[in-house]
Amino acid sequence: MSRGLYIHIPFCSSLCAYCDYAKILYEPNYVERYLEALKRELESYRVKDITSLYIGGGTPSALSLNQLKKLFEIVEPYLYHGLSFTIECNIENLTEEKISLMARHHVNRVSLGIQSFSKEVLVLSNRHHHEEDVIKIINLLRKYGIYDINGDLIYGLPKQNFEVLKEDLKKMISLDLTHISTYLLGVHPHTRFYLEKVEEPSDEEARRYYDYIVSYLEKNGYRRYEVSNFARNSYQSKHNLIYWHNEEYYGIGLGASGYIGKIRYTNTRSLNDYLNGKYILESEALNIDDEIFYEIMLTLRLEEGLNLKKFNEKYHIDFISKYQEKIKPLQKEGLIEYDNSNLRVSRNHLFILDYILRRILF
Amino acid sequence: MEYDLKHIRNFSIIAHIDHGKSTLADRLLELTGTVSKREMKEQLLDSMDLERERGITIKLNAVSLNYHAKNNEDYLFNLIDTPGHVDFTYEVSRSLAACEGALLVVDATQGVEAQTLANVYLAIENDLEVIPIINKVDLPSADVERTKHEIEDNIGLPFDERLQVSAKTGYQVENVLEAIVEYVPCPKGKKENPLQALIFDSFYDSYRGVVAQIVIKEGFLEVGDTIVFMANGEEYLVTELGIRTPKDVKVDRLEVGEVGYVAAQIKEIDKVRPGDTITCVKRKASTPLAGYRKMNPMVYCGLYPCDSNKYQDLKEALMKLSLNDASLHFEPETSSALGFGFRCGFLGLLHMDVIEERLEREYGIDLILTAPSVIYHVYLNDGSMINLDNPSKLPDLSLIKEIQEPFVEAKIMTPKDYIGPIMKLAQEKRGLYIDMEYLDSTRVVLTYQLPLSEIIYNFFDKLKSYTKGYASFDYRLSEYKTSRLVKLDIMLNGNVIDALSSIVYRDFAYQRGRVLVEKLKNIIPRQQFEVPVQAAISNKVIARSDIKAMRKDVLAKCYGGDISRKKKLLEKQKEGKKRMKSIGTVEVPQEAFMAILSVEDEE
Repeated sequence: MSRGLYIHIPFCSSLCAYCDYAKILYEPNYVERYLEALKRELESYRVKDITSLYIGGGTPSALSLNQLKKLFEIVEPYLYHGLSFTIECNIENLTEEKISLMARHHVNRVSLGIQSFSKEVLVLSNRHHHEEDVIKIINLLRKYGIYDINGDLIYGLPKQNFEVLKEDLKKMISLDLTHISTYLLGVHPHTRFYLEKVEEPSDEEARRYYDYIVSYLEKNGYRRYEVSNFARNSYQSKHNLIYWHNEEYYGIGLGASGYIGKIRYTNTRSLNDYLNGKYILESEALNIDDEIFYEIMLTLRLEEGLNLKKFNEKYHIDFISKYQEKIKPLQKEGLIEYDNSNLRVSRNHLFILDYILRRILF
Repeated sequence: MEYDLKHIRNFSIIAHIDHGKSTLADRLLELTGTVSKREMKEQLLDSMDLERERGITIKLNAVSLNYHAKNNEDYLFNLIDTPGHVDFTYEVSRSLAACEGALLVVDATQGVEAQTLANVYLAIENDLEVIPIINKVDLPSADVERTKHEIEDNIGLPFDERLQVSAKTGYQVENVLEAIVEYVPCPKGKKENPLQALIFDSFYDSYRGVVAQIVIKEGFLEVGDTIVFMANGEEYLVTELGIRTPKDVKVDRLEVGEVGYVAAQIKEIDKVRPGDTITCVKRKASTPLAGYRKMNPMVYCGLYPCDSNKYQDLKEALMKLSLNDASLHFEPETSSALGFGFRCGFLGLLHMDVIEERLEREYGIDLILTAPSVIYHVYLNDGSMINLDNPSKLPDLSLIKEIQEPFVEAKIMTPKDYIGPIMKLAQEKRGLYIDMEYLDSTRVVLTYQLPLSEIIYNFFDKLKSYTKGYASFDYRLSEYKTSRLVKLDIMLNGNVIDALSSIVYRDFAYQRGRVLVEKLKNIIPRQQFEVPVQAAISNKVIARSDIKAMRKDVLAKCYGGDISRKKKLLEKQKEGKKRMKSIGTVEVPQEAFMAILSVEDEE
């Protein structure tokens, strides 16, 4: 069994126009107080047996060297050799000193927010790095022994047409990363794009882009193991697999979520409440039906799909016979397929997963 | 308290929607101390949630009031509420039959409206004393003089100057109470005579069985009497009598002139018909009272449960609703697209709407309704005639000699500035101009003959928008006439969907077909495969549009924080699918079946 620990750092040196995560402009005084609150929240859980630690944001790399040191002191008790330890970084505020610090603290995976290589697209999204810096940073990471690197790419951004996307993918490949995540632009409330009434790509465009991304990355040695995630060899994200395998994780920090002991909870997004010790905003106690719901919803995101043996043992029901009425027509329509070990969404239909889920779950 | 006949007054209130009928009723209840101010909820008589929300009265309702008049004598008032909408004329005639008088409430800022006029004439036909009241005189835009002139000159009723009131503020409302004493005749009839009680409403109560609201026209009725329903001869033992104040108050006896309710452990809801006369075994009357004009449904539609397991529930709910709504007709039908359901007849679209909402709210049944249709007379070559209430059942054209459709005579009352737009509207709707009459220097009544089918297709909304809400209209069925009509079929994936067929005027068919397929394309969500939507007349396709295949339906990002949110999202999406019906492999939402009604907006 795996178990995760997620820690959220909401601070950013600038706010991206599409981002709807818990985020705050970098402010040194707040960071100090935030780290103290973070420590208190973490200590309120009896965190044990974690196999993965993920520090995300926001922008963890926006913290100063000293602040990063404090952060590593907070997580020190949980670190051990062999732990999967990922930290999210932005190109523009990562320095050699910070990278060296990370490496010394067992960070063995870095996730880079790249999103696009086009100057025009980046400026419109309020992002500030240059193509040359990306290569420089990757070389530095490798210099300090961090080889497992993910690059995030967004598609469907303003001015990022099909030609730009193709170019972005080509450059992404040339970086020779272990992992690539690609996300379709969603325009959400509380973002600048939402206020500017930026339009999401049409379903047709989105599908055209997605199909191209899948075939291009697979041609270049990356395997799609989840709707939006691609990995070389065995470099799948151990941390995200915990989510998709419906396994437990602690969520610490502003807006973070956790799943521990049949409870799913989400933390407040209000910095004031958080600093005053009001961490959890809402929580949901799961009964067995809820657990099954999540298990199906999450595992079917994976290429491997739902492991029948594991499922049947965990819930003491036979999946195929219980869901026969829903499964048979879906199989007949070619939307899903299964053998003795797994049930999965057919390769070409992962992009209508929610439609398939609704037909199974309701 | 016991009252002799001379101190009983049975009356109803007639008013157009929004002219303040319910507010006036509330004020009367308050002034007579029937309901204390503290207990007052807005619009007490409108007891259904639906009525309060829409601000209209749908069901009639009765309440008893005690009034100590200026002559120092005590009176019993029975107020029987009436609905104001044209669809519910039937209900109005029921309440009028129970009364000797009616208050006519006219809004001083609006004047007399066409529907009000229709109800006033109904009251006069029923020999009721009509007392005009001018309401809302406190508003700056009130024009009391003009309203008075309309009442006296156009309707021909004398107006008592004291009856200029504001129901909202209570100004001069006590004069209304005095006017009821003075003008409304007391009930005729004698206590010694054999019992004749008119049933004007009824409802079902799971403890008491059917409860009938009655007015005693002759004789008296006591708990323990054996009553007889004169229409079917069924006998029951009276277990409870009472009056409504508006709470139910049990009494041992109801006497001539009184209004109240009777319960007799009647479990079969179809035994009690409003309009029937109750008598009793001991003091049996030889003849029933004159019932009232039964209204025939004007529009029909198919009603299907979204969940086919709810068919039996739907049947029981319809039976319960029809108990106090004799105008609601229903019979089983099957549709190849929608399965088992009922073809239901309604007095009009509002009536249909109200029944649909009551079925969903009070009985928890999600429904699919097909577009409403009128009844066509289809004459076949062999000389026989079919009453067609379901367009999909139209026989093959080669068998048909001609099709006739119902026409109504519509009276549209409007300020003269809007004559032009109304004439244009009537023309678009295939109207035949009959007459125009000036009521005074600014207002006219236009009379048109119009096909009923065109009126149910958003005529009223258009009339309101063409005239900034100033025009009002009323209609009655005039005759059946031959029209050039065709059946417009809709095909999904190449299959004719019977529930989407409609009968349309031939000259409009191509245009409607084109707009309809476009509309359906937008309403029906994307399916897994491309689905062609076609409109056809006699198997000939006249328009086509394609619903594109589903291309994307996934949340691309699903990390820690998104997980609970994603479950909620899926659940929300499911809610949206509740009122969908799978037809073959295509999921069709409820709005699709109503699309034809709003087709013209986009022509």
